[in-house]
Amino acid sequence: MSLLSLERVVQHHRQRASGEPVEALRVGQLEVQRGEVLAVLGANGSGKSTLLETMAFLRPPDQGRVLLGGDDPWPSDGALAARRRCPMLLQKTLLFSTTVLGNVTFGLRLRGLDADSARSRALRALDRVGLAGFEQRRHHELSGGEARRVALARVLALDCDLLVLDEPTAGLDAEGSLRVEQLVRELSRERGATVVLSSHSQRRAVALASRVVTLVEGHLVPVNLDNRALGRLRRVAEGWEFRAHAGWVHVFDERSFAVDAWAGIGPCEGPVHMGLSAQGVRLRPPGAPGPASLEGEVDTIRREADASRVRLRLPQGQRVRARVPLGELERSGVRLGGRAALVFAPGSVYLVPTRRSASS
Amino acid sequence: MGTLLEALLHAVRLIVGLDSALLEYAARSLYIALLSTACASLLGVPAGVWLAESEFPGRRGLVTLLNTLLSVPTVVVGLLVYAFLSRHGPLGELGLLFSVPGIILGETLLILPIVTAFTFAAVTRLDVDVRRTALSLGASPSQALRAVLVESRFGILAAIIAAYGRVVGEVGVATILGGNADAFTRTMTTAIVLEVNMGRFEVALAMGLVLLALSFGINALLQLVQGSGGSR
Repeated sequence: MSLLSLERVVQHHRQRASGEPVEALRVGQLEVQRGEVLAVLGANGSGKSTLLETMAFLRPPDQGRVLLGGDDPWPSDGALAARRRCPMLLQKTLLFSTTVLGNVTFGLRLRGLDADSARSRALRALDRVGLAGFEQRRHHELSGGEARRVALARVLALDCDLLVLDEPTAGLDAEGSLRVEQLVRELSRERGATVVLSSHSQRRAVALASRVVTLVEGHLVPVNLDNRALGRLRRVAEGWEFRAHAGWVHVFDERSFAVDAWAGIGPCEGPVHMGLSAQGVRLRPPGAPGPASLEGEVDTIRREADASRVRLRLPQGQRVRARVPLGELERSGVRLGGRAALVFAPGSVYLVPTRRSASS
Repeated sequence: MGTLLEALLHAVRLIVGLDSALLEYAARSLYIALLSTACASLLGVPAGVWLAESEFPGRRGLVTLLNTLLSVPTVVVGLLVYAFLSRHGPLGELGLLFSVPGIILGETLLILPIVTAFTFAAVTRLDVDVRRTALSLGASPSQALRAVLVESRFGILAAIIAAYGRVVGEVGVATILGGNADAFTRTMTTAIVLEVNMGRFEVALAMGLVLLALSFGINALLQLVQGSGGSR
C-alpha cells in the first residue's frame, strides 16, 4: 500500500480581483511509496506549492481524496494527526520572533515534549544543517540562507518518516544546497524516510530523487524514468553537459499542431500544451519508421559549444526548434536545407490542457 | 522664549511644591486614561483578532467603518455619549453624566476603534504566513492562532500605546461628559483649557509640561515592555 496517495484531487485559487475560483491543480492519481524520494518539478506558478500543501494536509482538497496509509484524514477530523506525521518546509521562510532554539523546538513543544528532550533534539537538528552554536541567536540576526537552514532544522527535529519540502534549497548558496541535498539522501538511505520535494531545477531534482513528476499549469505529467535512465541522468547531472542532454523540450504555442497520430497520447479536447521528454526524441533523416514522427525541412542549424540548435519547418508552416547534443547531428546525417524527421519514442509526448487559448 | 522658561520654572515649582490641585488633576487624568485604555483593550483586542480571523459578508464594509471611526472628532463622541447619559437619555438613570465613570465610558468608546483597527492590522499582516508555518509544523488551529497572537504582540502593544496617547491628551469628551467640575471631574487637559480662558497662560503651559512628562513616563514604560520582548 502506498504511504501517501492522491486520487482525483482538484484545488482552486480565488482570483484576487474578481473573487472567482480558478483551477490551480488537477491530479488524477499520484502515489508515494514508503522510502522513496519524489521530486515535483515545474515552473513558477505551475502548482507545485499547492500540490505539496495538499500532500502535507495543510489544505483540504476541493475535490478528490488524499490518503495517508490508506485513510482519508479530512472527513474524520484526522488532519491534525496527519499534519503531525508529515511536517512541511514551506517555500517562504518565516521564523518566529524568538531565538533559533525557540524556533527549532516549536514543533516539539506542540507535541508536548519536555524542555530538555526538545532542546537536545533541536541541537542535533541544528548540527545536521551546519548551524551548531547558533541556538541563542535571534531570528533577525540570521542571513537568508541561515534562516532557511533553521527552518529546515525545525522540520528535521521532528524526526518524522514523511517530509514535504517545498524548494528546500531556495535561497541557499552552493555549499548550503549541497549540504541539504546530502541531508535528503541521508534521510532516505539511512533512515528510510519518505521525502516529497519540489524544485524548479531538473538537475537538482534528478540528482536527488528516485522518481520525478512534472507539473505543467497544475496538471501532473508522469515522468517515469527507469533506473537505467535515471542512473545515466544522475551521472550527467554531475557535470555541466546536463542541459544539452536532458530537460524538457517544452510547450508549443503555435496553432493547430498535428498531434493526433503519435503513440502515447490520450484523448485531449480543447486547447493543450504539448510537452516532449528530450530523452525520447531523436532527430533522424526522413523516412523514419512509425507514425510517431514529424517530417520537415531543416531551415536553420546553429552550432554552439556543447550542442547544435536545429530549426525544422513543418509542412503546415510551424517551426520546431530542437537542441541536439554535440555529435548527434553529424551522426544523424541531417543537413541544412535537407529534410529531417523528429522521432518520438512511445510515452515521450504528453498533452495537458491549458488555460491559454492561443495554442491547440 | 521667556514665557516658556517661566512656564518651566512654574512647572518645577508646582511639582516640587507638591501642589495639591495639580496632583489631583494629574492622578485623575492618569486614572481615566489608564482605565479607559484597559477597557478599550479588553474589548478592542479580541474584536480586532476576531475581525482578522473571520470571513463573513460585509467584513470589508465593517473594516472601512472602523477606519472611518478613527478620525471622528472627540466632541462628536462626547455629544453622542452625552445624549445617552443625559437625564432623559436611555442610560440617564445610571447617573453617569458629569462623573469620572461617565468620562471613562466616553473615552473608551473614543479609543475602541483605534485598538480594534490597529489590532486588526497587526494580526492581518502576519496571519497567513505565521498560521501556515505553525500548521505545517503540526499546530492545531488554536495553537496556530496562539502563534499568530504571539507574533502580533508588538503590533497589538502599539495599538494600546496609540490609544493611550489619544486619551491622555483628550479634552472634548472630558469636558462634555465631565463638566470640568473642580474636585470631581477636572482633568489636566480641562484644567489647562480653563487656565488659558482665565488668562493664566504660564500655569496652563506648566500643566501642559507636566502632562507631557506623565505621557512620556507611561510611553517609556510601555516601550520597555515592548523592548523586552526582543526587537524585530
